[in-house]
Amino acid sequence: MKEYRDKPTEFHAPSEAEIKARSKRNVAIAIGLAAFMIFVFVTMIARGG
Amino acid sequence: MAAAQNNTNIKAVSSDAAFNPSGLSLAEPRDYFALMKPRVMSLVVFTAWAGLMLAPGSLPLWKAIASITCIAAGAGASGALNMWYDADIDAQMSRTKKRPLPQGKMNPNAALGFGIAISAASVWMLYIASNMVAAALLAFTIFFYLVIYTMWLKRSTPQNIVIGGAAGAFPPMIGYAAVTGTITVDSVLLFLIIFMWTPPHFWALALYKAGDYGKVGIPMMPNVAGAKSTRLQIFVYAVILAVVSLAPIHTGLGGRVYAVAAVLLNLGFLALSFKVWQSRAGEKADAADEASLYAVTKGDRAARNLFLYSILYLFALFGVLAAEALLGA
Repeated sequence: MKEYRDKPTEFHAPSEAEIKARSKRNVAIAIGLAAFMIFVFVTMIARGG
Repeated sequence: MAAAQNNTNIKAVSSDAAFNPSGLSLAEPRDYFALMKPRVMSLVVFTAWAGLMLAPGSLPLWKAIASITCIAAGAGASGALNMWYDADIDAQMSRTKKRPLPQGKMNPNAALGFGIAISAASVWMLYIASNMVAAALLAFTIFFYLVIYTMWLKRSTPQNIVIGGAAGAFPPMIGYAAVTGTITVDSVLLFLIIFMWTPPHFWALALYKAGDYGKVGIPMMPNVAGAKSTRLQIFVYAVILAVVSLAPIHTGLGGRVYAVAAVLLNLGFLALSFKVWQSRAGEKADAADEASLYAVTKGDRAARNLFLYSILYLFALFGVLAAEALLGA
């Protein structure tokens, strides 16, 4: 069966600065989530103990 | 019809302002950090730590670190929500126009989402790390700062920072409650010290930034009651602050070292407040009259000195109080 998909009609390639800012945000989110996860585990385990 | 269309256009422009054609924003992690008002957060961390040290009993180190982290994150989140709501006036004030939202680096919804998420996480984690009382106080502080101060009082009454100052006064009480799970006379005293410190601290700033606040219609005391009345009120609050800050000596919260430090710090605060009261800070100088121009500039300098000293005062007062408790224990 043939698929029909819309092609982007107004695609704007992101600039270097935008890509750089996004990468930094991604790294910060990853670090933040990892820290939060460790925080939750430590807190829960210590509380349980 | 045309007006409605115009409004729609303005709304569309403002909500898309932070986005480039690609749909990506230029906001970096440091912009999100700036959204949390790091300088205010440092004062919150310090006073919360002092509250934690002064409470009878102790917390395991990791719990103390977790509690202070949560209090700092909650304060930062309320700062982000404040910047989200105040983006319109921040753009017009010299002191705040370089914040991430007025600069158009970030979409307002991103700031709102960030503030809500961090608020929820910090309150919940503080509950897990310490207790219900501390978590409830943190939740109330965030609510008070955003709804009572930012949304209601700030734009409607010159008493905005007097009542709103309560939000900044809660952190030591939260730190204290994290250890004890209660609110005591001593923790209320810590609250009262910051509560009475806030008006002279902010009004000193407002005196030499009166034009900034007036431009955006914020009813700060100098713009409403006038510079002369504000200067007198600064001195009155400095006297009340001196009395309140000496109260910990009577309850046993502060010892001899604190007594000496508090007397000296208050003498400095009173002297600088008196100087501001007697000055012409916050007035409009007559450009043609050199003497008047000199007097107002000198007065503004006195207000600036009081503003800077007030920050040092709070750090020193809480520092000595906590250090004495720490070394005495």
